[in-house]
Amino acid sequence: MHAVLVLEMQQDFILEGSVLDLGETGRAMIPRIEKLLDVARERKAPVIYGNIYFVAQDPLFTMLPLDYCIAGTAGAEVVDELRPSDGDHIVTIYRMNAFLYSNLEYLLTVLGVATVIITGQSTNTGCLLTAMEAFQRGFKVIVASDGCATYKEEKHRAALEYLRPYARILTIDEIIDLLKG
Amino acid sequence: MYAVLVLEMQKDTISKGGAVDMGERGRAIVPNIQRLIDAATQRKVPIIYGNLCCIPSDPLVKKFPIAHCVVGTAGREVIEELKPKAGDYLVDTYAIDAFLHTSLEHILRAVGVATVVITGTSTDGSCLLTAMGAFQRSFNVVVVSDGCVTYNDERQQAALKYLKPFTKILNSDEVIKLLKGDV
Repeated sequence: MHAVLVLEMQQDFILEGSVLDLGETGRAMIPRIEKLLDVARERKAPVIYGNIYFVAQDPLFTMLPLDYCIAGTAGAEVVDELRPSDGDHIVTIYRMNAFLYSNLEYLLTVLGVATVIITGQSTNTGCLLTAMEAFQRGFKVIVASDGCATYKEEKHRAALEYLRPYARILTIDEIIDLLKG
Repeated sequence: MYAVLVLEMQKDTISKGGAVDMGERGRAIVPNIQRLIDAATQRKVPIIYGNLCCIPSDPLVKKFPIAHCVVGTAGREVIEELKPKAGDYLVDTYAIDAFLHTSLEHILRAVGVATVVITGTSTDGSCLLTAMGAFQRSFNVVVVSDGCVTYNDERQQAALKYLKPFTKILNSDEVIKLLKGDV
């Protein structure tokens, strides 16, 4: 079974003027991921959100000189267009690698997922490290080339090149065809 | 406390004719790691080997293009020049990231390590993912630029550039000075 992972599509990274705004490249992903989630839900493929929430006492969160994704604030919420539906799963993540200290592997296993489809941000950190961890844990991995984004186009492309030996790199439209297959 | 991590410096990855031998560029880092280990030993800094242990029936291992470091074969042994000594820690690793399914995190915490010094192969494989694994587990990370190696210079430079925001990139001489407390 396929599952779609939506990593850190939270307002503080995506909305115009937000603290860690990825820019237009971040917002451009939204309609494409939205389309993919519609098809996934229709085909009963699980949708799993990986959402990060700021932990003030954790030195890793305070490396950046600003606070972001504070639980209870709008900035921590998934962008409106991608808001979770009934039956979706939400995993709280604490690190770029969404498996670390989280219940993601448990969920994938009990849901019977064989192939993880990775979307969200950023391509070279959360997406790359989560894709590599999924690969090493024995899952098949698909990375959505136009469903992931990072701050620089060059870094986006380099990350996809890095992942190519371990994951299938497909566009959202190709993934939709696969799910409908 | 520091610990020196020596990743996949095994006969299959380094020795001439090893299954995935990187050639001279692989063997060129051996003396740098040797000097680093000597300095670490003098300062009672723990040395931890991460030795890839491929189990042929493991689905992940089946995906590797060339079988290497297979359990029970000579190719899995650490190269002679870096042979572990009494008191070193040996961790069998089963994936690219040395933390995955291993006791590495426990050993680092039990020994009281704050800073992990990363050496071995390959810079953009095990070294990169283990460095990122250590960083995300809140260890300080030093990556030894001339103590890690991968298949070509471009990949070496790209991996070090990737790691720069998360780790300190130092050469072996700089790390030796650090271990000696000279800086």
